[in-house]
Amino acid sequence: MIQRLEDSGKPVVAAIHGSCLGGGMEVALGCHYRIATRHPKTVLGVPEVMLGLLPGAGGTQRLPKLIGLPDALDLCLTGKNVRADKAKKLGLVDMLVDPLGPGLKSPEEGNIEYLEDVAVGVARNLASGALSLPTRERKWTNMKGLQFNLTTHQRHVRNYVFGQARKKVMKMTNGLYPSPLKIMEVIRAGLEKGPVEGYEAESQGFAELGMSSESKALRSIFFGQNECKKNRFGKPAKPAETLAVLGGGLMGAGIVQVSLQKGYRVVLKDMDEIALNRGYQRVYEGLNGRVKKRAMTNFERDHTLSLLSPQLDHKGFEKADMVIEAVFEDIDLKHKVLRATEAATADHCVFASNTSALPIAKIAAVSKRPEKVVGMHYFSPVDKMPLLEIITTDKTSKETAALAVDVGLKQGKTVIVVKDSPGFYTTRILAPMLAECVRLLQEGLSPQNLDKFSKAFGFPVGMATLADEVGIDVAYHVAQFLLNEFGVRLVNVYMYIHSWEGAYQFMHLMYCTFGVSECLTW
Amino acid sequence: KRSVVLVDGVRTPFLTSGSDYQNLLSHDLQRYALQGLLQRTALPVSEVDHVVVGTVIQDVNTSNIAREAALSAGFSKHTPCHTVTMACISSNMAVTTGACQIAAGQSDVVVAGGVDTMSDVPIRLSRGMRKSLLAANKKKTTSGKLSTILSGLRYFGLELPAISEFSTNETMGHSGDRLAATFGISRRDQDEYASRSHNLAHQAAEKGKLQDVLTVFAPGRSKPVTLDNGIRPSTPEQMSKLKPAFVKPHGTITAANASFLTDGASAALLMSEEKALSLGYTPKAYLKDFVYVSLDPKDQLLLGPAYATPLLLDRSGLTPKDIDVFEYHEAFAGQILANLQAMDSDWFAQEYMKRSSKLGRLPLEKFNTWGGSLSIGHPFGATGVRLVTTAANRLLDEDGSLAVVAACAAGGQGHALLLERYPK
Repeated sequence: MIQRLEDSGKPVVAAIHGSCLGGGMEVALGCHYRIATRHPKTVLGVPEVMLGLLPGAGGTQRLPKLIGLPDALDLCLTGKNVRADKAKKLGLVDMLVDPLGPGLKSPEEGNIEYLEDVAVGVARNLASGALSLPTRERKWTNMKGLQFNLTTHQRHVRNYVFGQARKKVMKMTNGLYPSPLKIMEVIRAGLEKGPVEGYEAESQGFAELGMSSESKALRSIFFGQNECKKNRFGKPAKPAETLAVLGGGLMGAGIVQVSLQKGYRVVLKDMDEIALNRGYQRVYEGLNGRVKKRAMTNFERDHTLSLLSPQLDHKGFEKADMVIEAVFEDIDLKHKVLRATEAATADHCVFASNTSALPIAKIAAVSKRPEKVVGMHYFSPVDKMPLLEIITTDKTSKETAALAVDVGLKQGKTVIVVKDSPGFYTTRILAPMLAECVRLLQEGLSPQNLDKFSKAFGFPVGMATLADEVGIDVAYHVAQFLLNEFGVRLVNVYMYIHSWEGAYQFMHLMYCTFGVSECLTW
Repeated sequence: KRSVVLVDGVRTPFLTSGSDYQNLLSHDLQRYALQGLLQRTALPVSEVDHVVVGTVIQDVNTSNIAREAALSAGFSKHTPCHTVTMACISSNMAVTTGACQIAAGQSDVVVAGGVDTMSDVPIRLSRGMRKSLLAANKKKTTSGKLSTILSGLRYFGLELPAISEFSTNETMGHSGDRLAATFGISRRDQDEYASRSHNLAHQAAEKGKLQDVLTVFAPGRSKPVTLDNGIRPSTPEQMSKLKPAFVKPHGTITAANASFLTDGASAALLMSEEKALSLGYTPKAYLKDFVYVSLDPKDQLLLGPAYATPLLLDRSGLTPKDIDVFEYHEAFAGQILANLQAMDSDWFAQEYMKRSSKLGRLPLEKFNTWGGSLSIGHPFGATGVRLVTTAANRLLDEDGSLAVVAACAAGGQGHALLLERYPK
């Protein structure tokens, strides 16, 4: 059907506003000309790889011919979202239309009408010949054309591109995800053997991937994540507007940053000027990093920072709707902080602790308002890790839980709500794994081999590296604590004190653990 | 509150940037306007209590251009002067600042002016280079200085004054085009309005209506400058040939239906009514009331007049029918037409202006009948005073009673002012 669009004698113009992903993108690719609105909602892409599939409606065949092999591989293999300006640069869309402000109708309606007017105008011009279709053939005579033709149509350079892409895929996936490899195979078939073979390979590939267990798992993660976007406690009666964060360390600063970005007023409190300044600098660097990546303008960064109030005292805390403490994992310190906070905040204020293992009930023991105490366990780096584990005690009220989930969702997190059992959920399922890891090391397996085997199994980070990343001492304390709580249920643990060189990324662990998705109940 | 009157206003001819004023700096132009005002009104400089000037593109050497221009124009060195900035409504702000001083009793006589030139703009070295030069300055030895400068060379680059809105990075023309599209203003409508502006300006100039224009004797030029040189009557058909300037290819704003880069200066004499009469002047008009508005710079950048006009009229219980003269700043033809549409839309009035109903269509036959910024030109800081003076002169010429002056400005701000003809 898309082929019929492509073959049509009449010019077909795609007018894009909002999401143009997957199948929608592939329909647009079948059109002769693409126009998109330069609107923050407008996003293009082929994210099928994230579900373990491939763009099965012609995407693998049309995309390389349109934007060249390297960019097509980038989009298909990462499934990344492309904004309007980038889409124009890539050649994915041919023309951009600016969004309008309020006029004689709402901006939303006005935008669609304007887009339609411009698109119809373009279609008319294409039909009459006033506007000619941009040639999709690239010349060999200019640099861009040369690059395009060499990487997409010249066999040797093309093979090199595939080789590089394959290397990257293998490095990131260890060959455990069939979808990116199949995508490359299918694209290659089309480029080397022509469209007939290419489309055939694409539909075969889609069918195969659709049946694979990896795809089923990824699809279930996708649905799970969507489920987690709902607040099962309902909307809070009074959503939070002002947050206070205690402690400007790595976690605290990260929480501050994501909250500011989503429009919350944030008060950052710390113990002394040096610590407070460090916290502020962390937040600034976090936002500035986005400016450097052009995700934000200088002005937006400064405007966002104006929502932040760094201070050493409790001034303004009476206006706080939620206080998130991110201080050291010491129960006495947390008690001290809770008492001081309760004295300075209003009755409706929720106290959330970013503890990773201390029981919330224990923290709430000194609280005058235990129904307002909840755990909000973020993961580092806060601006990149999507998971947020919210922990409720049997005293935590429904309103408190609703507010906490609401804040987490607004911060852009994937929220799970769990009971206040030892280790909550994430630490509890991690601990036995790390304990087993240590056991293997005791039995003589080298850390390098442990990493190698666990990565080959499918963990994105080797277990030995993970243990190092968490911190052997931290893991030891947590293991001790869990041992006390759970007794014989937990394997007895001895810890090697090893230190490994190197810094590794703490990535995708939560995706892995989260894949065991059904125990998200409270 | 004392009554404030406009005694008179003058301006240099407004010229396209890069023409006969290209050897002048903004303080020169303002000096000519101030001198012209003194001569026109025969005002003794000792009577001036305060001078305030509005300008946009500041020359660092003359950052308080009011002071430097007034001193060199022969004003008393004992007269306080200050400079204000509010983008295109800078001299409006100068006028209202002066009016407030007079009304509150701080001054009896205020000279309010405005100036801008685009023939010379401050071009700076890049930040990195500036830093290294300043660091080099602090070094004691020549070799130290030299090495610092050389290491700073990698930052070589120039910074020109930005033409785009600071908070949104969007150029005004681009925003104007979006505004025109939002209100469904066609290319044809805009070209027709622009043609009207040029034709009316041309006629007014021919008939000698533009009384505020001075003759400027600029050093080194073979002829004095006597006329605005940007007025070019053309037909909409001729204008339709131009390509869109800001949004390509489907935009509607072109060089013909947009105001152009202009150099020029203006000055007006404001007094308390008693002082004016006691000095033997017949004022032209009362400055009765004014408002400033501030809007979203992203999507309502140029809608100032649409918001300011109803606010101003409401304050005095007036309707458009009561107004005889409208003098509005024409940034773009599309902007004027969009503002007129916005004021004539119940939906916009209710949704955005929080009014119960629309103000209504402003009568075009009373609107900018001697041309406007599109044709006469727009030296940013100078336009405000030109609008006020022109409104007063039109009231006298057309035998009207009330005038409304309004303007939009970069930053998403706007202004409206109410004038009442001084009784005969």
